[in-house]
Amino acid sequence: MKNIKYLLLSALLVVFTACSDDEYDHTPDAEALPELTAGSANFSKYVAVGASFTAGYADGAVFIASQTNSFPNILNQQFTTVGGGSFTQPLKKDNIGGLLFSGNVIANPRLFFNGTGPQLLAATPTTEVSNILTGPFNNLGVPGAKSFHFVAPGYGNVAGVPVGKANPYFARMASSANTTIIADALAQNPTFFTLSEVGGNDVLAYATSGGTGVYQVGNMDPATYGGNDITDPTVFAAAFQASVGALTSKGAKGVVTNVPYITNLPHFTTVPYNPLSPANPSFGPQIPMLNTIFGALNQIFEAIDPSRVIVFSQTAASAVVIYDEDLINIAPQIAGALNASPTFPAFVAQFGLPAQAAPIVAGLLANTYGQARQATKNDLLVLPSSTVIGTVNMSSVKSLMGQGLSQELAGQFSVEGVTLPLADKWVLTPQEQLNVKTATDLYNQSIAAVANQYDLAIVDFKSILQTASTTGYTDGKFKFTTKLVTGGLVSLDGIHLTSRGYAVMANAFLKAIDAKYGSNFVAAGVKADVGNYPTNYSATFR
Amino acid sequence: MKTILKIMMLLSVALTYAQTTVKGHVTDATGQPLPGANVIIVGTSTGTVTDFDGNYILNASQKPPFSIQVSSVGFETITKQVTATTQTLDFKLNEGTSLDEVVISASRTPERVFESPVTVERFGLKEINNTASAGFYDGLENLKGVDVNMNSLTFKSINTRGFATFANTRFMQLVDGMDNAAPALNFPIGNLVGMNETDVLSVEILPGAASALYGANAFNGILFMRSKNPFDFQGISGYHKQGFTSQDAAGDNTYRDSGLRMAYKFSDYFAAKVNFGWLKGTDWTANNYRGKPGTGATRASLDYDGYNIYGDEVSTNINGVAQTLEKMGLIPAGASAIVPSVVVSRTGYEERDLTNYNAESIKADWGLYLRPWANDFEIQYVGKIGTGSTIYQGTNRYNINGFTQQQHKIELKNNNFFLRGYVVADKAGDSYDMVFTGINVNRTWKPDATWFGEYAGTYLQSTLGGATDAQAHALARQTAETGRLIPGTPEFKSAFNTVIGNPDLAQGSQFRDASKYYHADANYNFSHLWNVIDIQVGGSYRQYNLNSFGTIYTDFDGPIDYSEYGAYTQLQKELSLGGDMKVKLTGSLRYDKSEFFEGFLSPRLSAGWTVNQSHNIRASVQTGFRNPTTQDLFIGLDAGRAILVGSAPSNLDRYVRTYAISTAGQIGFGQPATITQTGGAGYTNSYLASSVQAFAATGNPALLEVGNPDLVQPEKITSAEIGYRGKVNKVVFDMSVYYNKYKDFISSEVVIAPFYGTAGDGGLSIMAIANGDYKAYSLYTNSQADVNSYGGSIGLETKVFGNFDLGGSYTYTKQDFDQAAFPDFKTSFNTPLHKAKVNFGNTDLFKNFGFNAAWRWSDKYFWQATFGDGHIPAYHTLDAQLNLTVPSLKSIFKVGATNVLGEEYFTAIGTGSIGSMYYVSWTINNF
Repeated sequence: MKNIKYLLLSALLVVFTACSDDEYDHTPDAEALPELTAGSANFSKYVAVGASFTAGYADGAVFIASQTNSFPNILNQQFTTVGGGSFTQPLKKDNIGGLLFSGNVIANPRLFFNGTGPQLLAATPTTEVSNILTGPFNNLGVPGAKSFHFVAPGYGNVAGVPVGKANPYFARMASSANTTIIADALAQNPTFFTLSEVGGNDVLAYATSGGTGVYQVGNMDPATYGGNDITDPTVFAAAFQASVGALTSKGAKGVVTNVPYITNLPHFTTVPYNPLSPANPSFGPQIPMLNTIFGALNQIFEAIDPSRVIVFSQTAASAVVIYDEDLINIAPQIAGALNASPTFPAFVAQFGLPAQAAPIVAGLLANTYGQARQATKNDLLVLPSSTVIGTVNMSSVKSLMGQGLSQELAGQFSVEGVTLPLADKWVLTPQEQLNVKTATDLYNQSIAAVANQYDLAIVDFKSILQTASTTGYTDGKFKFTTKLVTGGLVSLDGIHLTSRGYAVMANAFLKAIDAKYGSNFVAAGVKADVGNYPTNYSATFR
Repeated sequence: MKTILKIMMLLSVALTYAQTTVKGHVTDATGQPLPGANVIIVGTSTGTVTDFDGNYILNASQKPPFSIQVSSVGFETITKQVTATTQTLDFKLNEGTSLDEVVISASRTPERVFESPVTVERFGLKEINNTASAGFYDGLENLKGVDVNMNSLTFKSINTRGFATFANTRFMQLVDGMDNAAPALNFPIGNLVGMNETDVLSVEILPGAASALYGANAFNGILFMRSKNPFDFQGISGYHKQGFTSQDAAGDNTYRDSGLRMAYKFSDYFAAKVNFGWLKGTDWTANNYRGKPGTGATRASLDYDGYNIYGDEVSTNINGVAQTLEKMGLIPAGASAIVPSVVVSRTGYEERDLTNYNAESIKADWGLYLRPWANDFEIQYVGKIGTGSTIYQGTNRYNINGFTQQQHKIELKNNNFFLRGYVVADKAGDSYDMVFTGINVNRTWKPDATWFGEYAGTYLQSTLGGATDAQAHALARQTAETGRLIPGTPEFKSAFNTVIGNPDLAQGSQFRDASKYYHADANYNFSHLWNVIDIQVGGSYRQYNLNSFGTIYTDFDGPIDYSEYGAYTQLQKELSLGGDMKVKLTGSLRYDKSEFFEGFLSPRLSAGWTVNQSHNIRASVQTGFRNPTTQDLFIGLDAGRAILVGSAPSNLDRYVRTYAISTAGQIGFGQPATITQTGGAGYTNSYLASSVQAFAATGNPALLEVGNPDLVQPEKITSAEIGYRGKVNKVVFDMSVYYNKYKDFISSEVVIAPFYGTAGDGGLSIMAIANGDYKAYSLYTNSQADVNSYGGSIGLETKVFGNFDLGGSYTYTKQDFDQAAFPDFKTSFNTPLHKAKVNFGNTDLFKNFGFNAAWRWSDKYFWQATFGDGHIPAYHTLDAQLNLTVPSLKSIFKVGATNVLGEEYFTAIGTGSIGSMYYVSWTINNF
């Protein structure tokens, strides 16, 4: 009995000392993420085909940092966790951006934020296009490439660069003068590809040029297109089909993207249609005089087309005066009415002009305002117009002086957006916007059909940009908007993304890949932490 | 008739001169003298105690023959007959067991532990002298089923059967019948204002509900300390301990603790005593710099809120700040998009920069004892005052500095009754809240709006300059922190002093209070009148006088008074079942009534079945309740993120503030520029804060849930217990199992009260929330959750290898609560599932030399409290002491150490880690 009780007590001791070895980890439990799976896709050889977004174009240029932070490179970093391989890019020589051809600058350096707005970096590019790089390159992003360029031989021929027949970005990395972008991609036997933003450039140049080009609907020969034209949707469809068909021909899987409404980009939404403030000292005091002048014309507008009446408010911001080529030219009616007016010579005289100058002035006013109106909220002013509005157009001055006006008067009648209607290239009118939208919608129908046909993942760029431009698009802790400079998504050129924006894009790709191929990159946390990518690069960063 | 005769007899006895002198020598079985043994004349309270050499002289007025009884703790009692007027009687006492010790708390009447109807733990003179802990109060942690939550070096909080933070308002501590709880806090600050070690006669702990006898607050247990009466214990005794504490964070710091007791019996009619104690040391430095759950783990995290870093509690979403900057035109419209939606906290100060960690306790008490008839009728006046400095961890960590508590008691009693009245009053002194000190030193230097504005602005600027998110945050913090006050500089010191002297928590951190309560108790024991059944009746009355000068309570216009009372009776009957068996049945019933609540009846029924004087089985069922504390009822405090509003009906309209209405509210909904809201709005017109968060996250107003919590009601417990005590071959067993069922657990709830509209109207009130026109309140109510707990403990004691004492205990404690169903409700169980304790020692290893070692092990557990939650790792710790008794000096010398293994541990989140203490002590004349 005595022994038993000792055993009991010592048993207690042993049991509890044994338990006490069980040290408890008292760090807070992190939420466990699921284990990463690659799904059905093979990421061992990834090739990115596309245009400027694929190349990492940002702040109006391609430069080392923007390439390092290109969405294909970010994507490939994630792929390496599931067997992805290396990823080579045709890196530029600097962080200045821009291109030289035979020592001449053919593409500008990048923009930087100077505290108030974008400004061109005061530096000379050092990347010489004719120094052709040795590939192959996984990143075949070619800024400026339109749908039909991907399958166009000679698009990378250096000799074609100075004459505008070839693309300098492709020329410096093309495997041969006559190759195509798709051919250089296929030569690498990709197991996985992204074919991104095809179709964007097919409408972009038209839009950024303020609709100076032509919507080439029905024209099946792209060789005849001007640089600012909109590609015919059938031509687009054929080129896209050919590209995808080639890329998938050896069993590769991939992702394509649709085309967003580019008019949501800050390039088109930053400059307001009514930037003329009465508080502006160089504009406000002129308003009564301006209204007097336009008062003479407004009587005619009232009679013919009241929507063309031009009035500047003394209390609120006023819309700029623009040239709209879709308006009926009423110059003859204006000239006729002015010449018929008995008060017109006196009107002209108040500007210090002799009465006999009245017909010339009538002719000038008729020509200037025959297809003019004030802008409305439905007009989109392109970003560069901000540097023009309110300035004196010197060629107009010269022309008016040639007609006999004094330099002062010629200057007064040459103020951009006020007395001189903004030229077509500064404004994307509703009709021009409709052309962009119509073409974009047709491209997207083709893209959806082809993606479906080849069973590819598709990234819905259109809705992402739509969301960003309205409610804001959330990734991580950031809510991106399409505001220029401070929206975080779009870089200083107003069209291309910031490095952080490209990280957002990479995550959108991962989401699409997960959905199509059964991987779980996003759920497993294998994605870009967008905060690690800057939105801007300082001027001193070279 | 019988009583009158008895009183007459006693009176005549008291007035006659002593006629008999008995003297003798009391020893233990081995012949060692037994100092401090009680010698009394049977049937009277006349008696004496043996001196250090075990000798006694008793002058009695009785004529022989009569009996005298000698008892000593831990020994069996012996009675002998006195036959001559001058006689020498020597006693040799056989050592008893702990079961033979006498307790009085369990039934409010003396009884052997063995026969006590409920579980009771006792810590007597022998244990006090032999404990390896630094002091007797610390030694309580070696009792089975008792947890001691280590708040700081000098503030330890006893926890029995779980559900305790440091603010253990479910546990009561009585010193000579006086509640020791600080009026401002509603719980005792350990032994900071308690008892001198050489004045302690015994300490008893009832783990488990004891409301049936002791009323509200004795809900989860009661600690019962009794001092030595100067009639029985005279002379000068004292102790001095000197040593040092050792902790990684604080290094080695000296520690000393001295106490002196002087008691003198002037005559059989009058005796008096004075006690004085002074402890000084350095507290454990709290340097838990991990981030609280839900915030970043390290200082590098943006929203870092470290446990012992103060000031970093202030945090906000910088995207919201950027939006405000946009509205103010300080940054361009739309620029907030580039500022992420993340919570950033201000940079805090380490606790060690906000306190000197002085641990000090100075206490004095004095008592005048009058026996007008030299019999058991006694009139006492006892006064106590204590002041001290310590760290208290409640919602925040407080530097209790110069806190003073006074108690004054007048008591009339004899063997059959007592009537006592006392007052307990505190003054908070220079105490302050260390968390708000950190927060408001920061604000004094740079207001929150400025700091966060600079942060968000710099973040934006850096990003546009090319910084990544991490770089932008680093630059933002660096810029916002420019000019920060550095501890040690005169600028910091000046801001610090301003803050700790201001009780307004928006700017300061002073803890200001001078509350009191008055208490009266009465008890009559009819057992001497009637042998059929033992009956006791009693009652109590308490009046609170809350006086925080409007800084804690809503007592801005003068103190708040309220009262509660209670009455109880207990019936006890012992039945012999023939042979060696007997049954003791006890029934108690208590009625309590607070000014604010319906009356409560709490019954207790227990039965004890004794066989053969060796086995006792006990069973009891009882109910208990706990009244909401003074803070639960009358607080009115803007704690920053929410306003705390007590639940007393009269308190609801006393917290009144005027708030500005947003422009959107004024223009869109026709609201005035300002509105006045009372604290009652939280109870009558509010949404649950959790549902408002859900609404904010989703924008879906259907997720809003009306809050309107009920006013707080008393919390209730039903407790059942079965236990066994017995002796088998010198092994003493004491074991018990219990089941506790709690109802209406008092809890707090955070709600959002809109400034306009009615919660649940589906319209205007939602717009008020959307416009930010609301206030958050933290209110006191009862949880709907069912909370149960059960457990058991087993203790064994025996002698091994001759006369070595070996004891061990194991305690199992488990709560039964569906956390998933009530995700926001914290029970604060704070007790490990398993714990074990072992004691090994020998009081007489060889001549005058003894030792004792105490080992404790605690399983891991999860700590929940308002200050912070977290896992407590399992730990074990060993205390040990060697002692030498020098009879010629009437002294015991001790060398001891606590936590000799040197492995630092902690029992709660947020406190300093517990290091080791090494000490030598000299105790004179304590027996």
